[in-house]
Amino acid sequence: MTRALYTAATGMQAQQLKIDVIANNLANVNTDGFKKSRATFQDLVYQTLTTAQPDAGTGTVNGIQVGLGSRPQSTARDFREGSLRNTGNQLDLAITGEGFMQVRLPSGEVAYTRNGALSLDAEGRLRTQQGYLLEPEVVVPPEVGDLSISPEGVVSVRTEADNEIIELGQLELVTTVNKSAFEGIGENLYRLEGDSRDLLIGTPGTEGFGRLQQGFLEGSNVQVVEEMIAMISGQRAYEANSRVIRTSDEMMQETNRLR
Amino acid sequence: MASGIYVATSGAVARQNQLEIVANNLANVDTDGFREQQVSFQEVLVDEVDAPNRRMVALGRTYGSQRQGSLKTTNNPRDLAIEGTGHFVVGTESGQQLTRALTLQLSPRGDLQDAFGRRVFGETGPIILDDLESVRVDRRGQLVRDGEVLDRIRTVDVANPSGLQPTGLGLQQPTQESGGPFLVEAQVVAGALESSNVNALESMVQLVQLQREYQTLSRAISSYREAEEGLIEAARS
Repeated sequence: MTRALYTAATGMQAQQLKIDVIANNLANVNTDGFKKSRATFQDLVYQTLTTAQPDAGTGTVNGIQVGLGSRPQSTARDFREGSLRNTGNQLDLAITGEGFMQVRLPSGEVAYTRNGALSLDAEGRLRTQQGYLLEPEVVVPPEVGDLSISPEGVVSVRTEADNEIIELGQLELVTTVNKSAFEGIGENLYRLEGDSRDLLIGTPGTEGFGRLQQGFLEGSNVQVVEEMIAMISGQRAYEANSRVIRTSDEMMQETNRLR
Repeated sequence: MASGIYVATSGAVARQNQLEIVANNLANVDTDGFREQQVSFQEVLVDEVDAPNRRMVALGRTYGSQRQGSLKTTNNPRDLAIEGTGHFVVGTESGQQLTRALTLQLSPRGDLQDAFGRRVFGETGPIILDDLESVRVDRRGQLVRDGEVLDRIRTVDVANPSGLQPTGLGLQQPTQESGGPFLVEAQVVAGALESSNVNALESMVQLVQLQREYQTLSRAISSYREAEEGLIEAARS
């Protein structure tokens, strides 16, 4: 019966993790570019109480195996696209389709994001709201007119003086064969775990890469109803496991009352 | 001593073991591809000097329920489930094992693997691909790229699936009772995973029932003892 106690505890821990993940999803229901996660579980090892042995009456019989509970397997991220929202801001970019924008962290490391709420730094360079510079760098000269970013990632401005269009640079997107290698590091950023050879860098709008949508932002892909249902089922499973602990405890009390 | 006390004790011990199995089922109510473990009781005849053919009870065997778990869509085209009978095959250190839920990934060397880095088998052997993103898995489990079939994910079944032995981490192993695996065409669903087939309600009922039975048997054990004490008292007076 003590085995049942620990088994139920693993079940409760698993459900606790599930609720933790749901809580984070719900907390980010309004975070632009956020991708929800989902906790998955697996069964633990099995203990064999009696091994299978041939029985003259019933043919071969299976042994008795007792499993020792469950444990978290992974928190898989769901990279489905969130809905686009019109902001009208010329420095807001949404990616429709595959791809991430590359930013350079102060540490020199490269990170990836789907949140295209951009701004300019003092030197006119395009950067994210957190201040990380876009890679490759695009510099917007001061005192120019409307900035336009084409679906193919070409950044251009129309000069106010002679109404001429000047191309300032080309934005790039990054995808990878194995998106599960993207590890969230907060601030809507992902880091690539493992081999960077798997990365594909390309121009927006070409095959395999999404297009850019100026004046839009990609909303969070969290569906509140879905999360609420998962939360209810998680809570019920938690209760069921705690009920096992109580049953186990009561049976042990029963044993102690024997005289 | 009356032999009944041993019989009652054997029943109580069997209920303790049953509790452990129900606990494991409830702990895995959210484990994809998990098969609920069911248990049967059996009568055991024990021959002892003072009591030939004493009937005791013990757990007979555990077997996996073959009820289909509900398919839940994950929107990840590399999550695979099977509708109806059949199993996927993955390679482990202890040989090929079967699983009902598969998430494909590609190793840096191009080997097709499940989420734990175990090899996924095709028609003839391990599958090697240069790119997974452009590959679609169809209803028959075929890996299709631009209309061209590259390979088919191996699906097998056994004569008696409830005889499969769970080994943890979502895997099951063929045994003498299940029979050896043979190739079948299974209905593969991409973008979905099979939920655990544990019925929480049924498990809760089992839990209540086995606890009550345990109480009854405990009472029985106590009663035998009290009766014996009464007998001793009577003999003294």
